[in-house]
Formats: sequence, structure tokens, C-alpha cells
Amino acid sequence: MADALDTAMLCRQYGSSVLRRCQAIVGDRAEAEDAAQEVFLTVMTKGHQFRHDAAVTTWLYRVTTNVCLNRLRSAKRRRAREVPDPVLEWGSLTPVDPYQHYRHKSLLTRVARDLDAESQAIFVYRYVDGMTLEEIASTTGTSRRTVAKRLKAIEQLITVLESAP
Amino acid sequence: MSVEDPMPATSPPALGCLSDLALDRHVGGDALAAAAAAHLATCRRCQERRQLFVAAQETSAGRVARLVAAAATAGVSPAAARRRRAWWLGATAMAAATVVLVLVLAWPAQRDDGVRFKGASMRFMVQRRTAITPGVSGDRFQVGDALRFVVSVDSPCYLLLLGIAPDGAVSAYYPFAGSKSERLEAGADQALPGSLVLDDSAATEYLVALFSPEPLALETVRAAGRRSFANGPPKDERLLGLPAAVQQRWVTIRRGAAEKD
Repeated sequence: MADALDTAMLCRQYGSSVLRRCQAIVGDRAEAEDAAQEVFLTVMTKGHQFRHDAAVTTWLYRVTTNVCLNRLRSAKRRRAREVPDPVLEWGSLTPVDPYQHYRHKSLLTRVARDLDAESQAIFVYRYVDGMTLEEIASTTGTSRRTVAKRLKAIEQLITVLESAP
Repeated sequence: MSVEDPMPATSPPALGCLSDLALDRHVGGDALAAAAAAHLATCRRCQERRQLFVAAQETSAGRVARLVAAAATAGVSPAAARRRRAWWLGATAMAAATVVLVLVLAWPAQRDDGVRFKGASMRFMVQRRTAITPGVSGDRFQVGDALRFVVSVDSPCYLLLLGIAPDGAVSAYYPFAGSKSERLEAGADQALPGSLVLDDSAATEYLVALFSPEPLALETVRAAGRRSFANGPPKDERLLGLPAAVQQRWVTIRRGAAEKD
């Protein structure tokens, strides 16, 4: 099935969507491009895991979310032991682009400290992608009830974080 | 028992708006449900988001495809891509055992079209592994070195950064895969997006940067490239066929042997 996915076609058709979401989740444009690259390399190597009971778009959303959240976690670990890489700052010199509208990295970073991986993904689908309960349930393969419970916990956490001094 | 949708007011799309997923599918060709279509027909915000998605698809998808193709060609695995920053922009076109970087600065006379072009400068930084140093004309570079370009212009102008193969074939690096130069606002130290990574191909390539008061079509420069490189790299360090007012400056960068990891 990996062949049937045709990675080149997927890049052309969904590349901007994947890049936009990477930018929204990881924030930095250069990091987002790296993440988008990783997403499609993952598709090339793990395309056989794609089940055609889900839309390609949904599957790419899931892969992209996992790749970006893993990068955020890795970045957090790196920051603890490395000096800042000045190259990472180059991106800040580029003009602000439309993707900035979708940035929720600050909130995500703060929320992610207290959430498990599944809830982090649900946070992304809700607060970055603006998905409905049904869309999140479909994307994550869980029930609406589970998603609703998790979202309620996330909202409570956000309330606590935002009320903290 | 139904589950209420606890859509918070602070969530990016306002209540009732289409999610990014729904818009992505719609832009990708999927039909919207009747309710969603009705909302889209009346919601200016969603209409603007859709336009943004369509525009991004036109400008970004090709770039992502090139990034992925370059990485795949280089045999980069997802794990490797995750471990280190993978800069593959232009990796295939930047193939060169010896790379000659040609920076051509165009200085046409002022025009009355509201865009007045006085001056510009361009420098570049080189990342070799974790070290970053200013790039210097005539230095030797190595496989894997990533070049990042930073421009300063004192008034609005247009920039076209090109790669020219020894046979005169031209490709655009900035704007990446573009067909004409991109407008730059006045300002110092504007880093161009992406980086050029030197690979270990045997080809030689020349880079040309053009600053101009109005957009330059890639096709125009392609013709100039073919003329200028008809008998090899031009010894007078000038591209032929550009306006007489164009002032050209050349910077040469040569690449040495690859370092072993």
C-alpha cells in the first residue's frame, strides 16, 4: 500500500497542509520544514501501515501531530543540555507569514507539561486545528465521550495555567 | 446520553466555523456537507481561511516536495531527520565539487514607479556542523556546509537568487522555485528562508543574486544565463543581456574535500 500512496503525489497535494500544521505546532519555520520532511519520510517508510478505512488527510494529520509533538518533547530535552543554536534564531529574521495566525505553541508548551501524549494530541486537534468532537474522535480512533472527558480536563488545566501569576 | 461539545470560545475557529481538517479536505477536492457548505457561503472568516489554504497549496507544496525528494535521494531516514536539522533546500541543484558563488548586484537607475532602489548588500553565514561563521569570498567549503543568506536593502526592491549550472541552466532559489523576483522591504539583515546545503556531487554551480527596482522574470535571466555561459563561466564575471545599468559583483566560493564524520 505504500506504493499506492505515492509519496510524491501526497507531497504535492498535502504538502502545504502538513507544513502549515507543523508550523502551528512547533512554531519555528525552519523546524516546521524539517518536521514536514520527517512526516513524508515517515510516510515513505511506514506507508504500509496506512489503512484505507481512514481518509489520507486524517492519517496525515495523525502522523504530523505525532512527529511534531515528538519534536517538541525532544526540543525540551535538548534545551536542558545544550546551548541555544544560533541557527534556530535565523528564522526569526524572516518576515512574519500567515502561519503565525495559527501559532499556539506557548499554550501548547505549557499545557503539554501536564498532559499525556494522547491528550497532547487532542489539544492540538482542538486548539490548533479547531476540530469538532466528531473529527477528533475519528482522527484519534477514540469515542466522543473519551474525547469530551479529555477536553474537559484540558480546559480545566488551561484555566489553572492562565489564572496562575 | 449525548455528549456536549465543549468548544471553548478561545479555540481558533469560532463556534460553527469549519475546522482546518474540513477545509483541507475541501481544498483537496472533497465535497462539504450541506451545513458546512452553507456556513462557508456566509462566513467571511472561513472564506479567507480557505483562500489562505489554497494560496499556501500553490506556494508551499512544491517546496515540501523538493525538500522530501532531496532528503529521500540522500537516503535520509525519518530517524535521521529527527536527530538533526536537515537542510536540503537546493541540495540537488547545489551539487558541486567546486562551488562558485556568484553574487550579482543590479543597480538600475531610479524609476518613477514608486519603487526606488538605492543600494543593497548581501552576506552569508556558513554552518559546518555546530559552528556558524561568516562566509568569505574565496573560502573553501565542504560537503554538508549550509549557507544562509542575509540581505540588507535601504529601500524596497526585488530580489532573485538563482543557481546557474555550468551549462547555463538557471533555477530559482529565492523565491524558491519561483518565476520572478520577490519584493523586499527596506531593512537590514533580512535572512532569506531556507539554506543551501553543499552535497558531494561533481557538478559545478554558480549562484546569482539580483536586486532590482522591479520584478525580474526568471525567463529573462535564463536567457542571460545561457548567453553568458555558452563558452563556460564568463571570465569578466558578468551576465550578458541584462540592462546596461546593472552593476555586477562576483563572489567566489570554492569547495574542498568532504570531511569524514
